[in-house]
Amino acid sequence: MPPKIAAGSRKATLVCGYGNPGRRDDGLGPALVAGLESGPGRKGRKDVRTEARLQLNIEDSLTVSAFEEVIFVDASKRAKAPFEFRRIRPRTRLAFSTHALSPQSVLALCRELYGRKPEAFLLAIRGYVWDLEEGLTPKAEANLARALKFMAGRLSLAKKS
Amino acid sequence: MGRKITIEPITRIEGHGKVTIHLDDAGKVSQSRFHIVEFRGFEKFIQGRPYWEAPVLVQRLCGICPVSHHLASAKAVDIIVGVGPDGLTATAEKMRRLMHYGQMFQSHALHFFHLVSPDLLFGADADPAIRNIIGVALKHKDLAVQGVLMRKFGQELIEVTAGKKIHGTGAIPGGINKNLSPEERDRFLKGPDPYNADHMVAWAQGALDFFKDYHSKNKAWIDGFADFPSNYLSLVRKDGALDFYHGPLRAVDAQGRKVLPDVDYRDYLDHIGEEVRSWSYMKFPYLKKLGKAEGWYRVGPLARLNTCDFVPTPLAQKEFETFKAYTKGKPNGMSLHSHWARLIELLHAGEVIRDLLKDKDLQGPNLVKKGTKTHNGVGLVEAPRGTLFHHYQVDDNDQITMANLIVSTTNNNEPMNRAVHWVADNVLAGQKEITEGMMNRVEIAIRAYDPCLSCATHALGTMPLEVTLVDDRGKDIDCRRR
Repeated sequence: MPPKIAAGSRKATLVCGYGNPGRRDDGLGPALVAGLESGPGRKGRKDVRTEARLQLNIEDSLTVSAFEEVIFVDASKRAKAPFEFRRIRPRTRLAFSTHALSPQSVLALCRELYGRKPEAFLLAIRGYVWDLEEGLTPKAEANLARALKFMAGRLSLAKKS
Repeated sequence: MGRKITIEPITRIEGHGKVTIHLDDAGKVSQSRFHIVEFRGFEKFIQGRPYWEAPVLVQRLCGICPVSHHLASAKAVDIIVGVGPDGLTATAEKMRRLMHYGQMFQSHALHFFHLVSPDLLFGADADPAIRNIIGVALKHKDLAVQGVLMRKFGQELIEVTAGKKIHGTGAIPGGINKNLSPEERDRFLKGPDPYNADHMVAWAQGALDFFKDYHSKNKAWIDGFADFPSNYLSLVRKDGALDFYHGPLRAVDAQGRKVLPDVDYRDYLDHIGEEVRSWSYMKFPYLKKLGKAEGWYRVGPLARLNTCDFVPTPLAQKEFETFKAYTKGKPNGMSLHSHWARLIELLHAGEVIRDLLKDKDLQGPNLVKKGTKTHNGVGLVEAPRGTLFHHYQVDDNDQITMANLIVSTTNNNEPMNRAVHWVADNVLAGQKEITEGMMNRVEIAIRAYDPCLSCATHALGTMPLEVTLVDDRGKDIDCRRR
């Protein structure tokens, strides 16, 4: 069922990081979520929800339907370091898909199934290595730190600490 | 002029795959191959780690069915800690079963609604722009909504039994680290409609009825597509029932004769060999008794319904009887009937989940057993895509010194190649132009086996679909990308 978000002074925001922490920098999305959850300013904030996933999938269309704003966080092979932050919109044409969905496809499914169109953004953090091993590379760690600072500011987490 | 057709990668399956089809001067298929283009090296990844880490570590191998690796690994480690495959407490075994059947439910629902229903609803020749889950949502909203909630139901069952959404820790050496609280149970058993086990069973029946109705109107296509004989392998319960978690290993041939008669899976090396071929990173398993040429086999839903004697839940058993009657009790070799089999298993998983949730053993306090350490452990489960083997050897310092994994998709390597070859022979041979519909038929053949190739990494910017035509001198004559 859709999560219940308490009414607050700002719009309900979901930060959804996805990727595989067992494939080096592919774990940047979940790492950012972990960083937000353990960082200052998170406690008591009911208008910000954080979620981590291995992959996005069809049920995420239901999850995002409960929010006014969604920020997807993924590792990127091509983004300009340290990260790129851009608005994304639903995309009904799936150029290519696997068992997982793209964030744009999740938004399209959300729109078609639940009639909701949250404002959505993609935080693409530059990664470098994708081997079967746990732990980010030093360069990805540095990019993550910059992305965390950016997100803390955007969500006004620093002010609440 | 001879031609080579390359389809890379295959859409709507996990990871990178590539198909090459060589046509001779007359336009006939001279060779077809389904390639795996990434070396995974999972066994090396596990070696040197303490054995108790393995059930959590191995989940990194797969983004779509980590629970299968978690449980196959835990079963191997159970043996290493001296508990043995039949030695778990009732609470531990039933919690693991609930986790596993939850995974089977979500995976089968996802495969049908997300990957297969677009092909059925829109046809193999439909524009790729609508032949996907978004297209299903636009045209058949009720079906898509059901798919979302069934997948979510299974995923949340996994979360409460495995303890975490990513890389669960529920199964531990010799047992499980938590039981199911009454509150967690009631969320799935007595949740408001439609989010409860009874409703999930009804929806699973509905999905099956949808497929049967489609089949009745499209028999030539569903029955005739990539129909070929083979052997079939799966575990079965000791009494011959369909089982996804534990039991002896059974193989039958195309006539239904038992060529591997309910053997202990811990002896799998005596019965199964793995052939290496120079052009693929993925091995080709075979039954040693029948040899490399004749011993290849299929695993997965179709294989399981071909090997088992009955299905131990009433609604799925009734459907199983209809399924078996269709081929007069003989094994079913029709590749697209794997969707039919998968939906019978979906219904069965829903019934098992509903019944397990009512079992008070899930609230039991005895979670773990201990025994005397051994140095060798083999674990096996039926993953959604088929039989999954994990085999470890450990030293006196508890470090894994040898790991051998045979994953479901590897078991289905030869059958997928056979299915591709069928399409090449029956759809592509003699054609001068490769259309989207032709390409999609190659993909449909592979998708019937729901393969999971080099999954678990997906960073932005990957996964194009590219088709290249190359002549017999190695020159590209056409290239399409989508």
